[in-house]
Amino acid sequence: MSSPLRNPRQLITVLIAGVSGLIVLLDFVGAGPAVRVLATVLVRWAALITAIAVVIGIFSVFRSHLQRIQMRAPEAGYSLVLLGGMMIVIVAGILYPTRTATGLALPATLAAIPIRTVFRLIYEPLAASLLALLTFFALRAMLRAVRSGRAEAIFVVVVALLALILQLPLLAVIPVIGQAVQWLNDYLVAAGARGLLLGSAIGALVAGIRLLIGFDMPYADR
Amino acid sequence: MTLPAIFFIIILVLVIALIWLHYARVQAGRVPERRPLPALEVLRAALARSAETGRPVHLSPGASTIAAGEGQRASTAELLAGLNIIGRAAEQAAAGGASIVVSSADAVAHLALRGVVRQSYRSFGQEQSFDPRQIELWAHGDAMAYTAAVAAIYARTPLEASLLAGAFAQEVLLTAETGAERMVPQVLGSTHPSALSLMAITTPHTLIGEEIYAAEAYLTPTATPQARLLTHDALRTVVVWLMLIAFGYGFFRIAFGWPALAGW
Repeated sequence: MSSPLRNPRQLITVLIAGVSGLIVLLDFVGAGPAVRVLATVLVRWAALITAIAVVIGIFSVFRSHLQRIQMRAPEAGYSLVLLGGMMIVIVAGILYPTRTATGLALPATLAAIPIRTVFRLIYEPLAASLLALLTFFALRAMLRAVRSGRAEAIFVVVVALLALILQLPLLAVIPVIGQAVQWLNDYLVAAGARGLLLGSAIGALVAGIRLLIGFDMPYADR
Repeated sequence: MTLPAIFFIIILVLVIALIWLHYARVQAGRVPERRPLPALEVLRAALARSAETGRPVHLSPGASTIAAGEGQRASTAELLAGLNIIGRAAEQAAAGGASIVVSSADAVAHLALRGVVRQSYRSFGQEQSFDPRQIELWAHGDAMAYTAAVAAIYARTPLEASLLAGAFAQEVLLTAETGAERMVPQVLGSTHPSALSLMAITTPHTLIGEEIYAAEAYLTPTATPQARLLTHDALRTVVVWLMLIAFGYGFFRIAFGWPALAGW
């Protein structure tokens, strides 16, 4: 590890990141009104910087796809659709005037009527179709897993099938089965999930603290 | 200052002390033996093969976001784990001349990835080989769109292997099943139980829960990741002991009439 102490530029970066992170963390556990004010300012700055990063990203995507269309690249058609979609969303979400009681007005939020209509008519059906496709993917993955003969994959498939069968209305009314499934959910499944959660939480805690003290610096393009 | 804040500061100081202690221990050459993680051997082998075949290895920190807002799936920690793994894999790629494609589903994560991969190439004196076009933003804030994009890349580009380690939910099936169908060796890791079950049926190479945080230590012999692993193990041991003590207390308190623990 190259020590930030030997590099003033890195030291300043680590101090800014560490102190900012610590203030927001302390506010999270309720360290008092002064910390709250500072943390709120920092979080707003972070949100602003993120928004600027997204705007830069949009320009980058726009330019890259425009170049592909100009160069008549093999998949320029997709780029054309993407740019068209981008323009529709931007115009509908920011620039499309709607009639209100006081006259014409631009959309106040991204959840207002024009953009909501675009999302309802285009995005939501597409997202729902992809989700529906998962059912067939799951079926195919299950068959492949059984064919592969891997013990852990077969175990997951058998447990999933059992869980599905035991939740059938006909079986759920049988008292012993209903209680057994409930017991499995409350103890066995919850214990496994909590074990996974605890391990992940420890990993997240160490990852966060290492970022605070400058052992990891993904933000520093050194 | 409230009691939780004071408690938090004490824990923070203890964990920082533990990290420094383990760092010093590893620097002194006291590295413990680790259990094998075969999934990472698959990644190593793919990176080595990539240098010969020229086919890229796809690396992804998942559809993770930095500073997830209210109502979103908080995934900053998984993203950090993914960044660390990708950084180490990029080091191996830089050292061996392997080709990589790195993708993400968040504009800020995309910028962080560029920094991490550039650092990796620079640390091996291969900055001239770093191409920012290796790091691509395939979606923003939409896990389903991102996994569909990864599936499309599987269909279009011959890959040596693909690593997806970070925040995923059930949508990972879209990618993982496409990869399995096209016989792309996949290393999949997540902390999400529903994603893990789907990963387990689509590939034999999975990183389960905390293993995505430990993976970095398996990809490099440097001191920092080893110290991180030791700190994980120490904290896990503390948690296990606390649970055992609490269980023992709960068991005997009825017999001896001791007071109940708060929150139990």
